[in-house]
Amino acid sequence: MPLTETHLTDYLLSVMHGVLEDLGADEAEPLGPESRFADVFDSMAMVEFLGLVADDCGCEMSTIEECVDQRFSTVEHLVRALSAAGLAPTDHTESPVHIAPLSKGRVETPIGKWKSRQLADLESRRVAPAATRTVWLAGSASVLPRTIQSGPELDAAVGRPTGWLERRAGILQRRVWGNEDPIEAAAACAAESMWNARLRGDRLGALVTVSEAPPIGVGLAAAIHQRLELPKNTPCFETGGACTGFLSAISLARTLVHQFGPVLILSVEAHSKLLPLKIGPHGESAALFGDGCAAIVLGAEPGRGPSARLIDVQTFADGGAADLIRILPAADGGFCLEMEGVPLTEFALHALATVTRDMIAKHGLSIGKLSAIVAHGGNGRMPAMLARLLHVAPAKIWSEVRMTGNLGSASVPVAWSSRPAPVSGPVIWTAVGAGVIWGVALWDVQAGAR
Amino acid sequence: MGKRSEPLPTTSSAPRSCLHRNRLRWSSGQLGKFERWDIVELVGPKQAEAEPPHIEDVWVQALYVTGKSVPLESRSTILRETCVHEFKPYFGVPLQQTHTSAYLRPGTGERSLVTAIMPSYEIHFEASRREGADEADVRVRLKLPGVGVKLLPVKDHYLLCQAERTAGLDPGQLAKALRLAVDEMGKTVAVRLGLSRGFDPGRGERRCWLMADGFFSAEELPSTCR
Repeated sequence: MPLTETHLTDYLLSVMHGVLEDLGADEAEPLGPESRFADVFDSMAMVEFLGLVADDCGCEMSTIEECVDQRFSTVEHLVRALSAAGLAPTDHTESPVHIAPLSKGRVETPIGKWKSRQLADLESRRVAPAATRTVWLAGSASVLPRTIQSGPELDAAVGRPTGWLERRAGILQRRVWGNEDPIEAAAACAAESMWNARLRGDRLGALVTVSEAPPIGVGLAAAIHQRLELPKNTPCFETGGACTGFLSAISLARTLVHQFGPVLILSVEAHSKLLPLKIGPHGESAALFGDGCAAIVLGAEPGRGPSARLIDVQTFADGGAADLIRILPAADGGFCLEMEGVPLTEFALHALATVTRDMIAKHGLSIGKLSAIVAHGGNGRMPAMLARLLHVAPAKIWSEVRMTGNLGSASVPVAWSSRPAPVSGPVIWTAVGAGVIWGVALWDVQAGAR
Repeated sequence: MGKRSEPLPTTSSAPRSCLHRNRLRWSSGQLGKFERWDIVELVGPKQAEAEPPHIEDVWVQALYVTGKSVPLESRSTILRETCVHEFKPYFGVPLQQTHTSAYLRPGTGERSLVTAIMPSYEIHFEASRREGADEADVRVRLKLPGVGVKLLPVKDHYLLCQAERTAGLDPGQLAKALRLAVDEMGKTVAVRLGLSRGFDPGRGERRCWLMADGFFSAEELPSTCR
C-alpha cells in the first residue's frame, strides 16, 4: 500500500533529524511539516537529505528534484510532490526494488508501476545479453579439515612468542589437511553442493576447479571429475587466479552455464602442503594460510530450494602491483611467499572497498541496502578494517579467516556457506589476491537461501 | 607545485554569483582581475601556520597580475603533479564518508588538493534551490575510485560564473549549462578535488568537506592518473 501523507511526513522528518545528527549540526527550531528546508539545512545537509530519500525511494536524486521543479520549499510541499509522483521509501512498501525480478502476476500499484519503469530502465542499460543472461546460485557447501593448529602452535613453529600471530595478523588458529585426503574431501564437498542444488551428476553441464595451492600438481579437475563419477563427456576446466580465483571462475561459469548447463565450481586449497612453517619471514607468511574447500552450483534456473540470482560479476587486474605479493620457488622444492605488509593491506582494502562501492552504485544500491559483504580475508584484521572503510557494522562483513587462516580462493565461498543464518536482499562477494587480481560479484538472495 | 594561494574572503562564507554582484562576499576586484591559468606574483608570501590537511597554504599580502599565463603545453604537467595514483587515499588518509559526501577531520591528511581524471560522461551536474537561500545548490556527481559515487558541492567559480552568464539563475538551466561546458572540454576531464576549511555546523566538531574545485580538459593526461 502507498504511504499516507502523514506517514510520508513522519518519514521525511525522521530522515531530517538523522541528517542533522550525522553531520553534527544543530537543530535551530523544532522540525515540523511547515519547516522550510532553507532554514533547517545548509547546502551540504540538503544534498545528504536528498541522497538518503532518493536511495530509500529507489530513484535518482534528480527524480526528486524534478518533482518539485528544482525548488524546495517546506516539508509538506515535498510530501505533496512525492505523493503526486508516486514516490515512497521502499522499506515501507515492498522488498528492495532494485534487483528483484519482475513478477508477471504482481498487482500494479502506482508505486509498482514506477518501480517497473525503473527496473525496465535498469535492464535496458545492461549490455552483452549473452553474458548476462540470468544465472542462479542453486547450491553451496564447504568442508574444512579436521586438524586445527592453534595460534600458540603456529607461534612456536615460526619461533615467535605466544600470541604473536594473533597480534600481528588477527588469526587465532588455522585448519590443515594433515592426514586427510584433500581430493576426497573436495569431492565430498562438491557432492554436497550438488545435493543442495538438487542436481544429479549426469545433469551437470561442466566442472570448474579453482586452486592457488592445489593438493596435486596437475590434473585436479580430472581427479575430482573421476571421484564424482561424472560422465566422460562432461567437460572440466582448471583455473588459478590466486585468492580472486573463485570470482574469476564465477565470471567464466556465467557463460558456460548457457553453453553446457549447470556448472559446479569447486575450490580446494592445500597451502600447508606447499608453504612450510619455519623460522623466518617465509615461514611467518606461510602461517597465515590455511586449508579448505568449498563448492557452488550455478545454473540457468533457480535450484529446487531457495536460490540467489547473480546480478553482476567483474574482475580486475594490475600486473604493475605484482611486487606486493611475490611467490618464489623455495630451495626445498616448495614455494615461499614474500609480502609487502602495509602497502599490500592498503592496496587490498582499497581494492575491495572500491569494487564494492562501484558495483552497488552501478546497480543503484547503497551500502545500507546490502544484507552482507562476503569478503576475502588476507588476514584476520582485514574484515574489521574493511568494515571501517565502508562504514558498515563489522557483522555485515562475512569472513572466517580468524578461525581458518587465509583460505585463498576458498575464502569467500567458505565464508558464505559457513553462515547458517538465512539472509535476503543484495549480497556482495569480493576478493583480492596475488597478481594483483581483484573482483566483485553482486547477488540477489531470496529469503532462506541455502 | 603543490602550493596554492587564494584571495582572502572578507567573511567566512563561500562566494558566488556573477549576476548579482551585491551578494558577493569576496572582493570583486580579487575575483575579477584574474583569468584561469594566469600567472600571478605573490606579494609578501609567508608560510601559513597550516593545520593539516591544508598544508599547501601560503599567506600573501596581494596578488599582482603579471600579464602572463601558463603555456598550454605546461598545463597538463601542473595537473598531473597532483594526481594520486593507484589506490592510495586521495589526501593521504582514507576519507570519512557520509551518504553522499566525504570529509576529513582537521588535523589529519597530507594535502588538501588533488586532481582526479575521469571521462566527461561520468560527470553529472545537479542543481536545485532551497526557497529563501541565497543561491542555488549546485552539485556534481562523481565516481571516485576508492571513495565511491559522491555528490560534491561545485566550487569552480570560473565555471559557475560562465554557466550563470549563459543560463541565468534557473537551477535546471544552470545544471545543463555546466554539463555543456564540461562536454566542450573533451572526452577526458581533470577534476580538482579539494577539502574545505574545517567547518562546525553547531556541535563543536569541525569537518573538512570534499569539494569539486575545478574542471579542466585533460585530453593529454596519462590514463594512470585516476
